[in-house]
Amino acid sequence: MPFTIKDYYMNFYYYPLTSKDFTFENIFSSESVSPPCVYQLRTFGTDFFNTIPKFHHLEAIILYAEPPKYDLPSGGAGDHIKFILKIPENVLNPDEIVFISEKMIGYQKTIYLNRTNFELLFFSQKEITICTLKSEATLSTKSYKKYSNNFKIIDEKECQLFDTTVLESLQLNNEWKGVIDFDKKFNFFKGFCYGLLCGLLRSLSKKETELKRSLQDITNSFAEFKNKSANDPKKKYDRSFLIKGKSSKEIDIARKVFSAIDDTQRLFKDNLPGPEFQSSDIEKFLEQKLLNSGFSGDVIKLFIEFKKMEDVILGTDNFAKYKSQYLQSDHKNPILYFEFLREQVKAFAAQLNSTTDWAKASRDKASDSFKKIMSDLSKVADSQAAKPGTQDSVQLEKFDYSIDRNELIIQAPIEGLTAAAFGEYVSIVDIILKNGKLGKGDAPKEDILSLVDLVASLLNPNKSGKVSHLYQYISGALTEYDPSKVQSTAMRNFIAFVFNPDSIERMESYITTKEIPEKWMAYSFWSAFNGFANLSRIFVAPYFETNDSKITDPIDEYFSRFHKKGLLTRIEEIKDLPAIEEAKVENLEVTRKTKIENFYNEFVEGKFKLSAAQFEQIVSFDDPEKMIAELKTRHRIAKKEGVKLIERFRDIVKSPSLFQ
Amino acid sequence: MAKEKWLINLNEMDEFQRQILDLSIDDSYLIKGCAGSGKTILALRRAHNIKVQSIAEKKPVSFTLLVYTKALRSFIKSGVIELDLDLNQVVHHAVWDESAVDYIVVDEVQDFDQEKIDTIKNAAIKSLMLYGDSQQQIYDDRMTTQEIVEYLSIPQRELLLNYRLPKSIASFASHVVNDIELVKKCVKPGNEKPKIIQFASWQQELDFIMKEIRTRNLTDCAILLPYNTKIKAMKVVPRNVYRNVETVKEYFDSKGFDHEYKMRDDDHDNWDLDFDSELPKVMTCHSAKGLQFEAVFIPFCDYPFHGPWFINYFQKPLYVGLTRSYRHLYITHTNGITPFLNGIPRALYD
Repeated sequence: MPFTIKDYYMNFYYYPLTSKDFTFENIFSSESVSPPCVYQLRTFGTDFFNTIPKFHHLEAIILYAEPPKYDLPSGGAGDHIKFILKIPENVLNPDEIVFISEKMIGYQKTIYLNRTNFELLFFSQKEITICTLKSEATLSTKSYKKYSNNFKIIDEKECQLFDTTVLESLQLNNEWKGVIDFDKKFNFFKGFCYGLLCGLLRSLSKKETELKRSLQDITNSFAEFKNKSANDPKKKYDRSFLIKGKSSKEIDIARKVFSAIDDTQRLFKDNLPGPEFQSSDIEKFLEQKLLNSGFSGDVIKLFIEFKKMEDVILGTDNFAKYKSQYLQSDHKNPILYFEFLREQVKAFAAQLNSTTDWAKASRDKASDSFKKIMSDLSKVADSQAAKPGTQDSVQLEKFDYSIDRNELIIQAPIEGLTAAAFGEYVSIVDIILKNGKLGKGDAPKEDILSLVDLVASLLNPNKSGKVSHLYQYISGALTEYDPSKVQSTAMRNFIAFVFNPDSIERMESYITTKEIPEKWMAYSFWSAFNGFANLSRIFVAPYFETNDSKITDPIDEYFSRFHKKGLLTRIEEIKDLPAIEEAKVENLEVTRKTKIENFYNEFVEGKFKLSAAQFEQIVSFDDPEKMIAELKTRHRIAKKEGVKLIERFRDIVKSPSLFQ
Repeated sequence: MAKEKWLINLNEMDEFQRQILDLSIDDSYLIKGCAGSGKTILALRRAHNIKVQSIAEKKPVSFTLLVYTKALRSFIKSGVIELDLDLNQVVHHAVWDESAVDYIVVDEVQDFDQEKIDTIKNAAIKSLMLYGDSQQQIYDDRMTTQEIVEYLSIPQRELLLNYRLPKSIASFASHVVNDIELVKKCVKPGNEKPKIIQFASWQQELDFIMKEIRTRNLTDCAILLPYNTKIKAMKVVPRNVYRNVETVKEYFDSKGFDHEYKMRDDDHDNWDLDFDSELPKVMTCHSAKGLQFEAVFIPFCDYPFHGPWFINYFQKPLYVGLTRSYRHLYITHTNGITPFLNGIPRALYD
């Protein structure tokens, strides 16, 4: 419960709202509410907020000391719902409160919401249901389930009349720059944090990734089968999978589908063991269903026997119908879905060479059923995802954040990474935090190029980032690029992100296909760039589809340090922390230097008349042709040898080889 | 399976789209929207809202989402499932049983004849929501959206902007058919210019396409050609032996490159592309009408101008093909770019 008995003497304030313009969704996409004019100014998240005439003011959140009585404007289209935000006074910074009248105040900052500091008051349960369910179809609105205890019902009789005429002439000024600046930085930092947390969970969810990948393989192979058979109906696709021993393209394509289903079933069975399908299960299912409907056991047994006899005499397969029913019933054994899946593929294939309306309808039905089962299996795979734990916030404690410098401050490394790798990662995050996506729509190419330039320049200070191969490829100067030559894990994840800055799902597909390790890095890059307000509900679901306060509260507590009134104090505290971040840049230099030294020690020293310093100078050139020419002219190393050496160098010492 | 593409992205919506989303489910409207205005997503959202109302009021409501083409039904299948709607309620017009339901939502209403529109009107107990665009009418003898509005006496709302096609591609494509209005309608600035790349042979063009799809892991892409089959292609111009779906399909098969293809231009019942698969789709520009892809490849763009008849065979379909991409557009050629693309200012492509 957000407010407890000890809050009894606390003052509360109320902010009247309406569902018009997706206000509910807006609040839960950023977990905050701001003065209305801020939405257009802030350049992230939604750029609109509905204002209720006479009760709102553009330049402040107008808070009432009692729930206000208000009506929604008439004449507008749509079924709009009233609800009221209730917050305790200790959420507000007293220095920012504007006194308007007795029982009315204005607040000119963003109020950040969490499970413990607000309630939403609705006027009926039905309206709660409508608001919450509608929000489920909105991408950036995080799940309300984290806040399921925050929705309450209020009686209209509890609402008070207010004279709000003072608002019409109210003139408020504010220097919004400070508010916008903070909100922006915090949005990207919070995005990074959830990107890291959800990314780490996904990195642990190898099972889920494998299951989903194999489901996609089934979809792909069935699509290929349908497509090839649709375009070439003369071929015998319909019975291809039944022909044993023979091989042809048609048979192979058909068998590919069943092979994909078999492989996935094995995977599911390994991870989610359950009993195999048996035909006697159908009889038990029918028995139970009919018993529940009041039929006696004897009559049921007779019925089942009758149906079996009917199938024999008429050549029907009534039990096939019952099998479908059984497989779709609530048996909770996902292994049985595969049986049903095979049925649908066979049902589709059986009608391939017929052009009757019935055959077309059967194919469509089989195809629809196939998709539905795949969706259900996908949900089963989702359930195998690693679950958040009560200690997850510990990962966040590894970072502090300087709002002033808009940078992370490392407190402790993430396990499994070397100091150099971690330093490289954090340096990239800092660049992204300072260059988050602003405005609507896809990330402009110039912004992505700028990021690549900055990262490349950081990792290779002797050269402009614009000459890197990745930059040249994205800018269109090069038509080909081979990311497989990149060795550094952080760089591989960075490439995954810059190739897919607008869709976390596409990035996920890229990461899975390319088998990129430590994929939490890519998720955190993506989320830092796009910001919390743009994170999809699907991505952050592990932390929002739960109302377990032991999971959500420590994370919210971590964030609240940054937006409580002691913000200035926080910056002072940060200055006292050791300058760990200097190690970040140093580590990157060390990385490259170390690699060159190691290469020299292993492949050059004693084999060529070249000192370490001379070798380092050679490899500082951008162009491999120039390196080879220098080796020949200055150091009398034959061209053939030079080519071999430089190629080996480029293969091994790739970091930062997005910049090859 | 792509889930996010079926959810409404409020951060990207403008006032016009929000107003449409906010309309009461109990009121009837015709929503006139140009290509790329988001009609299909709005239609799905309307269906979702109906379902929400049913749950909130704890009483079942019946509705039908009626579509004109099988292609569209196939396209939105995964969206229907993701929003937890019943696929049985999404019906192709040819198999609709015309039973009365509380709510009817119709996509591409401009393609239904008057008799069907009467049936739709009579079948809707509480309200109708019709989405359409007269500019995309397939048949000449159908009513325009304005005529439908007057006939049914329902109000109309308009979505005049194209939210799908990036300006960077629209600017490029508008030079092909001299359509200045196209760019004005586009909202999305676009972060990539179209690419025009020359190769030494048509096989190299296809090799590049395969490589690019693998490098970027493009899971939503199409390769668009002027012709379906070798025979059809060669009938027009004998040198067109490779500028067709059949040749590309064979080449990809020879390289073991998995893909889907469509060799017929019509909405034939054997037609079935699966938009949930990650396989690249090979089809004609004509077949791609109404569809959208993250990446579009248009190879073999080096056909010379043969005469005025060429406009219908190449220029118009090329325009359709160019406007199918919402992100990446690649045009490749071997023997010098086709005259249709020759005059495009250099600054508009990479």
